[in-house]
Amino acid sequence: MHPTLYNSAWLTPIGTTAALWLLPAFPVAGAAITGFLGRPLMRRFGGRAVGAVAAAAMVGTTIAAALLVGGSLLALPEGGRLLHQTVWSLFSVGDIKVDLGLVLDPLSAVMVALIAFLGTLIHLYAAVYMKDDPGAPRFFAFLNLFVASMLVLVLGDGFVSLFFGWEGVGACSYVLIGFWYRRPAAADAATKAFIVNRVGDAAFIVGIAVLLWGLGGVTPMTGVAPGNLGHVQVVRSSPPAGEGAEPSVQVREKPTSLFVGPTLNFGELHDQLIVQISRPGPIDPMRNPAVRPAVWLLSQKKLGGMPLLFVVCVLLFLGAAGKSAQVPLFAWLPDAMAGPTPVSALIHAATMVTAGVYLLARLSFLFVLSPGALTVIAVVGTLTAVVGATAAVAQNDLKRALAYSTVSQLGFMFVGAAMGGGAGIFHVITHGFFKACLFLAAGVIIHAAEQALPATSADGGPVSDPQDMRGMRALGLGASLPWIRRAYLVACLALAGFPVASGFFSKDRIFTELALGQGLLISPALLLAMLALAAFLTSLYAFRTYFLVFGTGPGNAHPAHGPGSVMTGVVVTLALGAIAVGPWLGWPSNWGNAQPILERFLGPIFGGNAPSAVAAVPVVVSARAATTIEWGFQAGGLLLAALGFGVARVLYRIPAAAPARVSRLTSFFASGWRFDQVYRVLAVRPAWQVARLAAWLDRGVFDRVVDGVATHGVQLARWTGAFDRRVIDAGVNSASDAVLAAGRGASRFQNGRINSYMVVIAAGVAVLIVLVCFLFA
Amino acid sequence: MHRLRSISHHSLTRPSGIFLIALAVLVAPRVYAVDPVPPEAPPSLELQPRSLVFGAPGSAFVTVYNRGAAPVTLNDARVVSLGQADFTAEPVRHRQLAPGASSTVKLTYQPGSRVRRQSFAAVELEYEGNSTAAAAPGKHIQTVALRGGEDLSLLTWLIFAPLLGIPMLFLWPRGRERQLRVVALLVSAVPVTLAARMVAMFDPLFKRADGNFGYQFVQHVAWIRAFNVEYHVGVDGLSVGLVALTALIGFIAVLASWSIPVERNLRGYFSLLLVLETGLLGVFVALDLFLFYVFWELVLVPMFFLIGLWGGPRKEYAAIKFFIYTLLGSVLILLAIIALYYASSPTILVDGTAAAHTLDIPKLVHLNDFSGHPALLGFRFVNLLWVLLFIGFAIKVPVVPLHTWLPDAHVEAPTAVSVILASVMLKMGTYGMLRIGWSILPEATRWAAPAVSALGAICIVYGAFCALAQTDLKRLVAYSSISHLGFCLLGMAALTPLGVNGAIFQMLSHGVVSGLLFLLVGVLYDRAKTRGLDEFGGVATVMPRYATVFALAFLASLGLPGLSGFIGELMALVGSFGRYRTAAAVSAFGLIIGAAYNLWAIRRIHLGPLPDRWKTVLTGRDLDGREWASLLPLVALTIGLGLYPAPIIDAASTSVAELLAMMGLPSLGLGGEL
Repeated sequence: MHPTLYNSAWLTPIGTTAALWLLPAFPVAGAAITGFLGRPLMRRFGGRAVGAVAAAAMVGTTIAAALLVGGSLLALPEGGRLLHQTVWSLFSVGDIKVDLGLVLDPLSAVMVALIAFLGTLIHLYAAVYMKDDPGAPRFFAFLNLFVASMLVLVLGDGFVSLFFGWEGVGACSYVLIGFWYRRPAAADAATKAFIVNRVGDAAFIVGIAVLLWGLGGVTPMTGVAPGNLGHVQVVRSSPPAGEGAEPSVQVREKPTSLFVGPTLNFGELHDQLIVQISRPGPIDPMRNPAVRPAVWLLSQKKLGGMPLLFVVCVLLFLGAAGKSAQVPLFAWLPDAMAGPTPVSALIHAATMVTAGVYLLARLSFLFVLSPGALTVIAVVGTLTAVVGATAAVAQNDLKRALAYSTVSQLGFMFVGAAMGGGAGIFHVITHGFFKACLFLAAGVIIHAAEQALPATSADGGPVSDPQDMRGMRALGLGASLPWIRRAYLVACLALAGFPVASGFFSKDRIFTELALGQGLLISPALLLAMLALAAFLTSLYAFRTYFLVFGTGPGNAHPAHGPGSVMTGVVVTLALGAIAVGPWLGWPSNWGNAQPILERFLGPIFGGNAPSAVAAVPVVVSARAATTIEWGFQAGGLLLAALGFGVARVLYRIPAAAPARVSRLTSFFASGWRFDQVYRVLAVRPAWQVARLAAWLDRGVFDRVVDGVATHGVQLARWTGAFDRRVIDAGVNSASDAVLAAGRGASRFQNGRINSYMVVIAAGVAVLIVLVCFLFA
Repeated sequence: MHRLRSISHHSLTRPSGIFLIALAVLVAPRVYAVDPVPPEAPPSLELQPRSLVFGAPGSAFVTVYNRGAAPVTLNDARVVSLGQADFTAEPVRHRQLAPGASSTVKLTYQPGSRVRRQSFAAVELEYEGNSTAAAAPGKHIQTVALRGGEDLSLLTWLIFAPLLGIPMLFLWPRGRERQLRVVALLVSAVPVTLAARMVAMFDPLFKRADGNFGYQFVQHVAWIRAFNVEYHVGVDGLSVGLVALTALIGFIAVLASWSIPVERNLRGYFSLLLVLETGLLGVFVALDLFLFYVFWELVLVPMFFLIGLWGGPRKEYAAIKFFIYTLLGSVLILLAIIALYYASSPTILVDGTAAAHTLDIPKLVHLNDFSGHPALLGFRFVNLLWVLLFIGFAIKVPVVPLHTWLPDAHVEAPTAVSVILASVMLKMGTYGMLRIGWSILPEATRWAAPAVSALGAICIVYGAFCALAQTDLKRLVAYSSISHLGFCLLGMAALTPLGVNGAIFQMLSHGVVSGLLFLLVGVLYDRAKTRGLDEFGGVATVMPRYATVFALAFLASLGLPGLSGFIGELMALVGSFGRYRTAAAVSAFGLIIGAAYNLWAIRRIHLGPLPDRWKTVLTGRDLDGREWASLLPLVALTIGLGLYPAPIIDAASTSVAELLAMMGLPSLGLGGEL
């Protein structure tokens, strides 16, 4: 008899099929056109046409996303929102079936909307920005592919589909970072980005392997041999546990089958991790305590002395850390600035680096099972936030400062993701807007600086780098780029976390969830303090860049050429978004809102997680206390932002004399805490040494042995040859001589006389008899 | 059949002369001393015809003539079959035949299943002379071979088509050597079309129960009765992809040989290339150990001459090293084959005649259990044999530390030969392991599998590190082969469905990708006459199309999802983790080094500034039409297999499931104790 399974109403909804392939298909088609027909297109209509094709593809995706999310997904009842499509089956071996499947649920929908919207804006900007580059076809083909990969990543219904997008993003970023491949710096940065990402990817693959192995085994209730229950019947939906459980009615009206066993599909994994199993008979929690079979399986196994769940989560987290530039795998991100600015904006805002946060959110049902892993993630995230922020403060290169800012903000997102996921995703969204705005504004600024700089260097001063903020004050950019300056200021306000710009809300959520959340193995107080420091530094470096770039200076002599209306329009739109999305999606409940829109929308994704945490002892915080805490963090956030702004204003608004020499601490921070050197000493150099050792082993040992055997073989052959000639041949020759002589002698017997023959025959027979008798007896 | 036999004999004169003599010396005394062949039945009874072929279900008659002077009684007519019971014989009971009289026996072919298959059986007619005056009183047996099913000769045509083209090459008029390339191209296109037909007709769900032990397109006739050798060919899921790959690579190799100058004896070159192709195809379809060994050796000789005569500066060294290494492996395999032969149990040949021993692979796999065989030299018989076979095959793969012939052979070989070497010839090793070692000695395989997994991990990491240290692009690619085939070993050692299927996929994927890599190396070498990694940079500036294909190939080699390299590696890693956690984790580390050497190769050839010395040499010399023609099929396969691997795995998984079932291992799940 089959065991009875019952679920807790948070099972993945059945959903309906929809043409989700359309979403990545538009940019893939765009890439095909720009890649294969880009050159003739460019000859005929100029580079702008190529960019227009790419942007049109993105507009197509945005429309498709709007129809699918707004039309199909939102039409479904809450709790039942899921669209899916199996594009094709990759392979099916034994009981492991791997499809290239896509799923659009609220979490994917949020990401798709963000990617489509920001991607379109960035493409529009790039169409103008890159129009004169001879490599425009290649650029736009890969920019489109980049977005397509990212869409596959967030739509993937399982580890393999996700990984297709995951690596596609990596490969496209490789090409785009190395777009100006003739420059050694760009080529090296691209290579570095890919290899560092691969470190994370290798961990990711091992994580998948460990997870699958962990799920294959013997289930406690049935003892079914090959390790899984196969498809079992879900017979009852128990009422959703806890309060605030919105989705209750829609989930699977009829009994349906549920897979328990090794799987690469997120939905199947999710369901078997939250489903509970009881012995055949009445479902009675008192007499018949339910067990989560898959969780039980996973918790039975250990790997290297550590709980398997912890190992799985840490390995998957390492994969996420590689993509999302967490300590210690973050050093590729600042170097990735070698690519064109729209690429930087795309990598930093909407795609690529957010993939890690998305992965943690997507697998939050798995991560909550391992408080140890959550602690690791929170600690690493906090460290990343601090490291990134300190490094950002010390940068003089505008793009590098923004890059380290991304590193720091990703740390915040990881802390948010560790605390349940919702806050992390919220910060992904708000950050996407203000960071895209900052980068695209930086592109305009650097462009203007490039045009203005040759004139300044003619004065006899050193030709300075157009990205160096120290030289910008003299260019009077604030006056010549008024809209860009305003947009930049708004984005800085959002980044710093001033209310009511969007960063304020998402950062506040992260702080609050960290303070209120359970599940960590350590007290959050230290993490909170470090994050507060990072928040202060965030405000400091944000306004530092603002004052250095747009501050009043002595120059203003060469008003720079302004950008076109498209680029300005994009930057301003993003700035408006940077203000609007935060309040829209996350107007806090203590400000008189029942439930923030995003939280409610993502409820079905994260709602089932909290009660499913194993043996988490809930620390009861009353609603009133929680509200108080939230108010406190909001006030504190405002205070830190204001403090950072004040310090930046004091230090950087008025040009200060450049310090005679850079302090050691500053250069330590500026180098990103010298992680590059650490890599070099701990990874790169040893790898080369081992490689050289292996090559030497191959040449000097294995080959020498082989050659030695051969040489000695030849030597041996010479000896045997000599032996052959001198001994055997000589013997044979003498033997043949002897035979001849004997023949001559014996011919005397050949005399024709019968009786002498008879004598010989008799003698022969006698000899034979003797031989047979004595020798072979 | 006569034609076929004479061709086979012809083709094996040189390489296997030594082997034939050796085998005769070793075997002949025992055959004649120990197992006397039953004395030939008296010629008093004559059967006509001696073999019957049924194209479609139906009946036919065998006529029995009593040519003797005494009456004869037919006692029985039995159908003897090793597989499916598709034939029935009309019952015969004590039928008297007077001298000079004749009688007929009705035989019916009615396939028991609608699956397309070939059927082989024999009918045994038992009779006795019932007069003491007859030459030989007592019971006697004569047999008639029966064969049913359709088109049996597809594989034979496929194997020997390249060989049949050689006379054309030699008859081609002197002074028109330039056109030999076209002739060779046309000849090598024939196996491609035949292989395409085979792939189209292949039934991925064909199981052992469907007949012929699960092989399709079987051709099976007795060949050398003295050693019970049969001509037995067929394909299953393990080999079908490799056969198709070989045909394709053979064609591409001819295309890639265009730059060999006319003065360098094109006739000889292409002849050897075609002989090589026959040998390779033969290895993958042979189902008789003797036949397998003949083809195995047939590969060796043309390869030796192709490297030794058309190779680079150190060609003699490389060729002799290759030859001796692989010959050593062959000897070990030969020893194991002979031992298997004598350990095998009595059976019948395909035409029904009794045989004391057999070399037939399916019979050795399914009808023999060697695990109880007495120990040899103090070792367990199966383990000793397994080790002999493994070393023999491991040299071909090659497995570290038996690999040092590979980089030298690759560096010296001309491009086309490198392509064949990497794409197809290395797979002879991994295929041989699965087909012979794994299948015939399952118990020893389980015993040795952990060691194989360790060797796999060593190959992956060691090969990758060696590749990282190379300064010659071709050597780098050669070492990458060692690393990639480590994943094959890892997957095969896992003995899980995912692992073994992954290994088979990886064989094909590596065949495609490494072919592409060596073609690309050749493209650059043809222009620059050097392959030094540090001498280049910025080639993408002047050869952007070349750079695109180059990047695609090296990213496939790196294991990028969407390209074929990824699937095999993923399956091997995930499939083996349940059994060998350390080996799998170490192998995953190889992924990082793999990324490093592949990306570093792209970096050094294509990125950065272009040195001045190449500006004039390489400018305006992007890929030409012929190069595109040779690259495009492989590019398409790299992307196609990467995005849609299902057909390959569907074709393989049935055979893999049966292989694992035969080993007593679950065909589900991810591991557990061996």
